[in-house]
Amino acid sequence: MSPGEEDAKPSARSDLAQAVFWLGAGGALFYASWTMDRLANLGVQPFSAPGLLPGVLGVFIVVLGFTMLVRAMRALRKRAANPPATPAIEWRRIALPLALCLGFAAGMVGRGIAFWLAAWIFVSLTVWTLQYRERHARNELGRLALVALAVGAGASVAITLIFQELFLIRLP
Amino acid sequence: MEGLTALGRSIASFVSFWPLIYTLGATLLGILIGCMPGLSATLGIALMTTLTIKMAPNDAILILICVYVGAIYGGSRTAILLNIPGTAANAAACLDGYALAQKGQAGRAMGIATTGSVTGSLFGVVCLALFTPSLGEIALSFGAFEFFWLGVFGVMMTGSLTGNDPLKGWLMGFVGLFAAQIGQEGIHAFNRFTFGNNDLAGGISLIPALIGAFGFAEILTVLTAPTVKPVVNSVDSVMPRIGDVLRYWKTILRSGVIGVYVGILPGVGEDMAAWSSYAAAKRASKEPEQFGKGSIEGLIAAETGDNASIPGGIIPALALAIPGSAPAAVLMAAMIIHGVQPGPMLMVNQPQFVYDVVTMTLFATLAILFFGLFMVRPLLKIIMVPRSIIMPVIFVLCTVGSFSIASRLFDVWIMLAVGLCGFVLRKLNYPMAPFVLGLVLGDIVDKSLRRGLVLSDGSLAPFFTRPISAVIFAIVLFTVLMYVPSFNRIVTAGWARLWGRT
Repeated sequence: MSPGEEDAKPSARSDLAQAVFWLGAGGALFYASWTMDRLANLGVQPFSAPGLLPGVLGVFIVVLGFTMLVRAMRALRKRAANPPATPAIEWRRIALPLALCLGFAAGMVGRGIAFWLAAWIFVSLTVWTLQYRERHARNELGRLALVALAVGAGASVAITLIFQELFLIRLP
Repeated sequence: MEGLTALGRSIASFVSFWPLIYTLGATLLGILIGCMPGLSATLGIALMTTLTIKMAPNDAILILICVYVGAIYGGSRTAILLNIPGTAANAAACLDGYALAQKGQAGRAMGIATTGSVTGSLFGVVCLALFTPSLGEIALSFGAFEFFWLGVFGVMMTGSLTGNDPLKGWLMGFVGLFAAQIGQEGIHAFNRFTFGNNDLAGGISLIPALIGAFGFAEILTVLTAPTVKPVVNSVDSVMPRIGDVLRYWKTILRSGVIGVYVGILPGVGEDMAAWSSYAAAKRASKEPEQFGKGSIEGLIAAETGDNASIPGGIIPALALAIPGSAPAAVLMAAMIIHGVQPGPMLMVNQPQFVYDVVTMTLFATLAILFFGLFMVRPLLKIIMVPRSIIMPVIFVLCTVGSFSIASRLFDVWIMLAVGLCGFVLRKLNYPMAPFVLGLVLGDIVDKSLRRGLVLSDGSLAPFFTRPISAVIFAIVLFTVLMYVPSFNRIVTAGWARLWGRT
């Protein structure tokens, strides 16, 4: 493993935070399962109660979370002198594609806009956004607009025809 | 003899115009999916499940199997030409395939990959035909206790063998098992973790969840990665050399056996099969120093192993309803959607279907041979399409695919939620395969545990004392304990002493 790859692994500090999350999640799952209706009023035996497996899973998640906590604390003690960099998820880089995807799937689809139109707008806008910097540097924004509109139109027409007309699948 | 007759009947029923067109079209589509880094076989099968939902069951399953085989094979193209595995299964092929391409032997490497893939698949098809009925017969004697441990075994094995950290793998397996508990449970029809939401009462559908985990999460991953313009190496003749095949017949056979074996292990998948075959070939090779520098033997081992594991993964899916890999899990879900109930009763209720699947896999294998030899150059053009164009289109397909299974928007939100969580978890080194297997096996584990306890009147003893249960439990326990350093040291030392004496 190269040093770069080592740096790319989440750090012990990140593992510590994850361990705390798993301890909380497992505990909450166990509590929800324990307090779940055991259907005793219907004569259901306790070992057939609906919360049995979720409760067991909660316990195991707590055990694994605790193991991760111990491991992370040991690793932290070892690396205290020279902690490795924690790779953060690059939310700034992902923000725009994520917003476009969520805007299309949660904001446009099924909200009264025709699917082909929504798909056309989304694909064209995403292609424009993702290629903007590269094309701007080459002074090709006009061409990019044409490409984006053409790809969007082609994709939306093809998907609509294939799903709706050829395979008789209802579109949102 | 009865099996051969059934196989003959299946082959005869598939040798007609439309099945052959479906085979060629779906395999080509699978290869294209495999060629595009970021699109996995799992996503391809999930999307095609939604597209083929209104087709006849045999036609739909044929298309899905062809996409599966095609995608795993297609991933070797980009591995050889760009040093980017098209699917995770082709990562091992990068090492020697790309080295050969840099020496100006990209065509030869692709010919070798085609030969390995075809022979691996054929070997797997033979095993599929031979072992599925036998395993199905054995599984008829399984009860709730055995199925509980088989489910747990699947989740624990996937957690151990996929990803770098078994702890995170097991956590993902348990999260998958938990996700399967959401909704109305199957014994008392009680709503669990639904918070009064009617959509949640129907549970988390597998296909939208998988599209989220392998589609949306992958799209976000690809779009955050720096853009690299692909440079395709020149391609010489792709016709495989008979000498290469004959010279490495032992490697092919060994990799085929390893591939099928790893494929049968629940949830482990094609990538592990490729790496295991590669490692075994390197250990047995007379030229281990050539591995990673353009070894024909290494490439043939990796490609034989991953393709042999495809039929291997289908064997437990058909016989036990426990899929051998993530794509096999989607395939199994598609079978259920189309009215086929995999599991021990399959050989009793629909024995012909097993031979139909054997025939479908055989046809898909012949199709990859055809496309591998005659369609290399046109296929290379797909690699050059920028990701910024492909990914938005794929996301539209993910949205349509999630919606079309049950025509409800809730499934689109499930896809988005699972995809977003999957993206974050992958960045934190959590593998997705155990989550998928947990989601698939959650129902069987839950029902088997509670049914077993009802049968034993609350006693846990049969879970540990019935012979098959005891064996599977011992394997699960041993697998987990091997990750405890002190236990691992004792076992390793004992093993070394044992080998030292003999």
